[in-house]
Amino acid sequence: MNPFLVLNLPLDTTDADVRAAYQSLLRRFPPERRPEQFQMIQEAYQALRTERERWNWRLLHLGGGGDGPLEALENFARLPGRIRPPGAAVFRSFLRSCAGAAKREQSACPPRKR
Amino acid sequence: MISDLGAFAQDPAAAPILDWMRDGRWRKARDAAKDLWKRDRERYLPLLVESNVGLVREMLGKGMVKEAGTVVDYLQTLAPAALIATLRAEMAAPPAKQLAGDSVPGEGAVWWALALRVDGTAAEISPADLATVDQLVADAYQPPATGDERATQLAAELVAVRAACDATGDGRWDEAREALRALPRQSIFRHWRMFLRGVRCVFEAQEETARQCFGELPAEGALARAARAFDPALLAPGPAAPATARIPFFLAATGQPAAWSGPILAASVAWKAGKRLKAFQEMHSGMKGVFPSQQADLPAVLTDAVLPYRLGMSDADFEYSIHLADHFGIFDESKRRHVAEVLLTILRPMCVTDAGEIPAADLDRSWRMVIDAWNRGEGANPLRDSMAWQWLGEMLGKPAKETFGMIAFSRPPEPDFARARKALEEAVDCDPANEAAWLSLLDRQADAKTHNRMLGELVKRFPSNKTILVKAGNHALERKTYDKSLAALRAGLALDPLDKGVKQSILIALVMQAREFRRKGRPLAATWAEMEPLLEDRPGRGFYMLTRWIARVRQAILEPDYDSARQARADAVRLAPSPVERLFLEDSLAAVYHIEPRTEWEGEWTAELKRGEFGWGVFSNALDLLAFFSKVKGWSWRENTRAGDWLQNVLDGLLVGKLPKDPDGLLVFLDHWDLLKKGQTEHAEHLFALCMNELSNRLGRSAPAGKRKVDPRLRLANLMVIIHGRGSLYLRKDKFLPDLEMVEKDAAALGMTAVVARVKALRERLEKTERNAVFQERDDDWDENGFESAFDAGDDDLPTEGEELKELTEAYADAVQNMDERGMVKARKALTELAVTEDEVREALEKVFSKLTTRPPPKPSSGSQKKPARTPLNDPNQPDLF
Repeated sequence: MNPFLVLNLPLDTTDADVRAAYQSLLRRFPPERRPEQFQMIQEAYQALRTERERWNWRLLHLGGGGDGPLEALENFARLPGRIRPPGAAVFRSFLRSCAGAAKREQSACPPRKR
Repeated sequence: MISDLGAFAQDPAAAPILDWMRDGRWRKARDAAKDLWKRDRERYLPLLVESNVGLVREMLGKGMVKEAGTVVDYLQTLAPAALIATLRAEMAAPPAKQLAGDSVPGEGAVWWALALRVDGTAAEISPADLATVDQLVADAYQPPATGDERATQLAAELVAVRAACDATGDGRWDEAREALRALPRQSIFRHWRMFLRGVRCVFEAQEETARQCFGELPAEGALARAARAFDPALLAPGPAAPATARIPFFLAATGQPAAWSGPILAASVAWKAGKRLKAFQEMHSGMKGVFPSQQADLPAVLTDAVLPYRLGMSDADFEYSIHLADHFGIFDESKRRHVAEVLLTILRPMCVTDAGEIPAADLDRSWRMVIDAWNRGEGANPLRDSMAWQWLGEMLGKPAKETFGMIAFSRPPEPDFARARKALEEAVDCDPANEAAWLSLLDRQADAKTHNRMLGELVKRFPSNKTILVKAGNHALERKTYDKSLAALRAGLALDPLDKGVKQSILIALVMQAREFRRKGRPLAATWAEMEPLLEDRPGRGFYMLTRWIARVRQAILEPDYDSARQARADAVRLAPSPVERLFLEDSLAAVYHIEPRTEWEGEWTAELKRGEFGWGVFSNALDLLAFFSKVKGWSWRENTRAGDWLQNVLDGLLVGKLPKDPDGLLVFLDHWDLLKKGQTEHAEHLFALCMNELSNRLGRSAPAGKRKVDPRLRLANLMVIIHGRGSLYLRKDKFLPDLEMVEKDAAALGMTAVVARVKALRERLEKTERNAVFQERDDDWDENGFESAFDAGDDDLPTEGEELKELTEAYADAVQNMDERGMVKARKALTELAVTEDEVREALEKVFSKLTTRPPPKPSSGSQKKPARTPLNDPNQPDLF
C-alpha cells in the first residue's frame, strides 16, 4: 500500500509533517486496540521518514496490479481514518440500492405457499 | 396518486394479491385484482390501479415501452390524470435508475400495506417480509394518517428509523441515537438499530464493535448486504451491495467527486470482462487530467490497480503492459514529448520490474526518459536525480537474467560497467552527499589505483559512515596492513558497537596479525587480550568466529608459549560443548594454519570415539563447524578430505551396531535438515551429501517402514530421510501415507506421544501442498497391485531421481557449451518427461555452470580410520582469513 496514502500526505511533504501525521494516526489507532492498522501506519512511517526514503519509494515502488477499480476504491476507503459519513442523501440512496437488490433476490425465489 | 393500501392489510381476499405484488408478480396480481374489482368496484379500485402501475413499471424496466403504453391507455379509464401523466413521463425517459435496483416511486404504498401485515421482529419474520420492511425504510413513501392504532404506531417507528438513517448519513450521532431510542423492543424495524450502530462504529474506526453489531443482522437482508460493503471481513460471506451503489457511496464517503462514478463503474465492468486496456481507457477519458496519477490520491490508487507491473508477472500481464505502452506510444520515437504522468506511471514501473531482463542499452535509454519526465513534471531535484542515476548505475552493473527456451540457453550478458560508472558518476555529481552512490561507484572501479585513491578520499569525506570504514578496514586487511585495517574497523565499531559483523572482521584481523607475530617470534599475549572483549559464549548462528571456546582452541594452537597454550587448551576443554567438536575443530584449524597437531590428538580422538558418549546433536554441530571453517580462504580439497574422514568417524559412531543410536536425537537432527543443508558451503556440501547417503542407506536397510518390530522413531526417521532426499523411487503417495499411519499407530501403542505429534505434523505439512513435490507424478507408471521400490526390488543400482536430474542437466549443459543442438533437444525432452519445471531446470543448470569453473573437491574415503598423510607446507604466507 502506498505509504503516502496511509498517512494521508502529499508527495512533497516534509519530515515534520510525516512525523505529525504518524503521531496523529497513532493516537487514533493505538497498537493495543488496532494492531493491524498500527502495523500499516508503522510501515508507512518507516517508508517516509526522510526525504531520501520518500524518493526511494517514489522511484522504485511497483504498481499494486490486478485488483480492479472497484476493489481499489474500497481498499482506499478502508485506509485508517479515511472513511467518513457520506451525507444523508447518498446514504439513503445506498440503502435503497441494497434493499432493491435484496428484494430482487427474494422475487427470484418461488412464491410462498399459504 | 399514491393509493392507501393499508386498508387491505386485514382483508383475506386481498392478501394473496399483496403477496404477489411484494414478489414482483404484477401481472398475476393485476388479474386477481381485476376479479375482485368486478365484485366490488369502489373498494378494490386502488388495488387494481396499484397493480396496473406496478405492471407498467415492470414493463418499462424490461424495455417493453409499447406494451406498457397499452396498459397505460387502459389505466386512463380508471386512474386520475396526474398519475397517468407521471406514467407517460416515465415512459418517455429511459429507465436508467432501475439499474441500481432502486425501488420505483409509488411502490412504497405496497410495502406499507404489506408491512402492516407483518408481525414480529427481524429475527422472527420471513426473508420476504424482511425485504419488504427494509424496502419501506429505504423508500421515500410517507404513510397516510389513519385512525388505525397499529398503522399510527408503525408510521411513527418508520419516521424514527428514517430520521436515524439521515442523521447517521450526516454523522450526527447524538440525533441518530435519540431517534432510535423511541424504537420499541418488538418493532419490526429493530434490526435497523443494530445496523446503524454498526455503521457509526465503522465511521468511528471501532471495528470490533461494528463486527458485533453487524453479526446480529439477518444474514439475507438488505442490511447485511450494506454491511458487507464496509468490510467483507466484518460478516460471514454473502451477497454484497451492488457495484452501482458501492461506487458512489465510497466516493462520497472518502470525499471524492461524484462525477468519477461513471468512469470507475465503466472501468470496473470492463475489468470484470477481462478488457483491461479498455478499463484503463475508460478512466483515462472519463477522469481526464487526473488519471493516471503519481500523486497520493484515489486516481493513483486506481492507476496502480489497473497497471500490471509486479515482480514475476504473468505472460498475460506482460503482454498487457506492452499493449498499454504501445497505446500511449511510449516506444514511438516521434512521440517523445509524452505527458509526464503517463510516462512515469507506465514506463517507470516497467523499467523497475524488468530491469534484470532489459538489455543495458535499452534500460539506459528508457530510464533517462523517466528522469527527463520527472524533471519536466516536477522540476529539477538533485536528490531525486542522484537516486535515480544511482539505481540505473547499480542495475547496469548487474548481469541481466538468463533467458531460457526449449532448445536455447544463452549465457547471461555481461554487465555494462562503463554505462554503470557513467550513471553513478552522474549520481554523485547531482548529489555529492549520496554516500550509497559513492560506494556503488567505488565497487565498480576496475582500476586498482583509482579504487584505492577513491577509498581514501571517501574515508576522509565520510568519517561517520560505517560501511565505508569497514570497507576500508577489509581492504587494508587484504593488503595485510593490519594496523591500518584495525584502526578503520575499530572506528566502524565505535559507530555501531553492537554490529557483530564488524566485530568478526576485527577478530579476523587480529588472528592474522597473531599469525604474523608468531612467524616473527613476537609475543601474542597482547593480541589475545585485544580479542577478549569481542568474544561471546553463544554468539549465535553465523558468528562462530566470536565463540569463546573456538577462540581458546585457536589460541592453544597458535600460542608458542607452552604454559599459555596449555592454559588455553584447558579453557577450551572446559568451555567446548563436547570433546568431539573440540577435537574436530582443533585438527581442522591446525590443518588450515599448517601446524602439526599435538601428538596426543589422535589418541584423544580415538578414545572419544570409543567412549561413544555423543549423539546426533554433536554430529549436527560438527556439520555446522565444517560449514564454518570450509569458508576459510585457503581451505582446499586436502583439508576437506581430512575433515570428511573425521566426520565419517562420528557418523560411524552413531550408526554403530544394527540400528542407529539416539533415535530422539536423530529425529531432532532431521527436523533441522533444511537449515543444516542451507548453511553448507560448496566444499562442505559434498561431505554433507555423502553422510546423508550413508544415513539413508542404513535406515533403508535396518528400519524400513513396514518392519513393525523396529522402533517407530527409527522408521519415522527413515520416512523423513526419504522426504528430504527426494531421491528414492519409494515415494508413492498411496504407499507412503499408509506407512506413515502404521508408524503413528505403533508409536501410539508404545505411548510415544511426541512421535505421534511429529507424524501428525508431518502429514499435515504433506497434505498442505497440493502438488506435493515429495510425491512424484509417476504414480501411473505403477500397476495397481503395488508398489515396487528400488529397495524391494533389490535394485540398488537404479539412479535416484535427483541423480537422474543431475545427469540430464549436465548433459544439457554440455550440449549447450558444445553448441550440440541435437543433444540439447534430447536432454530437454528427457527433462520434460521427468515433469521437471523450468525453474527446477534453471536452478540445476545454474549449479552445473557454476561448478564448471571451480574444481569440486574429491569425496573423502568413507569408513577409513587411517589418518591421511599431511603434505608439507608449500606456501606459509597463503592469505587465508582465519
